[in-house]
Amino acid sequence: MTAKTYSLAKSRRAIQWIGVIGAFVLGLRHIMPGEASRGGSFDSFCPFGAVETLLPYILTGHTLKTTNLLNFSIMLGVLGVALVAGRAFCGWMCPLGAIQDFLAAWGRRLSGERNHMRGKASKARFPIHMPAAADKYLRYAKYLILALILVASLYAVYPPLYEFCPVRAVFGFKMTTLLWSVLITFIVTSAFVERAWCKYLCPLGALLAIFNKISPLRLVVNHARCNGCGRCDVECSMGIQDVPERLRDAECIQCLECLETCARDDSLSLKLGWK
Amino acid sequence: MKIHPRHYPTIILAAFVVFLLLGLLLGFSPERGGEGGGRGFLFLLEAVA
Repeated sequence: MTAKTYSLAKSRRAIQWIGVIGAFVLGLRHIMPGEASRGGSFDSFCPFGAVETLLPYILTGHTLKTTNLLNFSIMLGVLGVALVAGRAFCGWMCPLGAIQDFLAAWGRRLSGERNHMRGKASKARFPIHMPAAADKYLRYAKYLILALILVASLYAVYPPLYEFCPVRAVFGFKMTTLLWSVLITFIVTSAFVERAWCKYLCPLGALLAIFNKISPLRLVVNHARCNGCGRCDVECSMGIQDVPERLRDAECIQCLECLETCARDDSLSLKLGWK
Repeated sequence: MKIHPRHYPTIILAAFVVFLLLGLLLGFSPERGGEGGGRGFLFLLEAVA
């Protein structure tokens, strides 16, 4: 671990807040009249909208309603991050991921943990850990959702996720009964299970997971220095166990909390390159 | 090559911005397509052919 004067966690929190505020601003713009004429609707800023509209666009030459070509640019930005650093978008920039982190922290605070000691197992009642067997299989759900959305997009007029989109529920301000139920479910599950949406449901996370295996900017472990204390396992919001052995895991959102938590210098470090 | 963690946020933000600009330069902007509009890759290929 490098000098402790610099806090990765604080930088991450700052970037997450920028993402959240940006999404709220887009949401406010969404409830003002004529937003589409001012450079695209709320949905056209969604990277996953590009995935939803990709096949219809290739096959028919038209994007789905509420999406437009800007979705592809935003998605290219996200893919750029993924090509360099895997699922870092999920851990650092996704506003929905940020809200889940905040909700989990509040859940922890409200259920008995006043001050979180980095690397120490929380005594708070929430967020809970899902039973290992259920957790293992539920994590495949997001890949299934991604496949279903790609198929559904071929027959859709609106993006398939349009009615259930948690980003629209949290930031969109134009609420329907369905979106209210999505919002309540999202808040409750995020407070009860850390990063529940990222672990089990997010189709964008499923798409970006592959990049964890090929991205050149990655964490490496120095086995000579690592003493297997497990502090990194405690801090992993994605619930990855035995972190030093699973640094390229598809579930890792590259939040680097493990690096921040590691107490042994040079046990974990960031490296650029494939070798 | 080792990277100092303090450079990590800059690297990922730069990657996002560069690729976003690349997309805009390639013409993926709302002005070109408009909601529900745009020209598909196959159509573009056809036009080129």
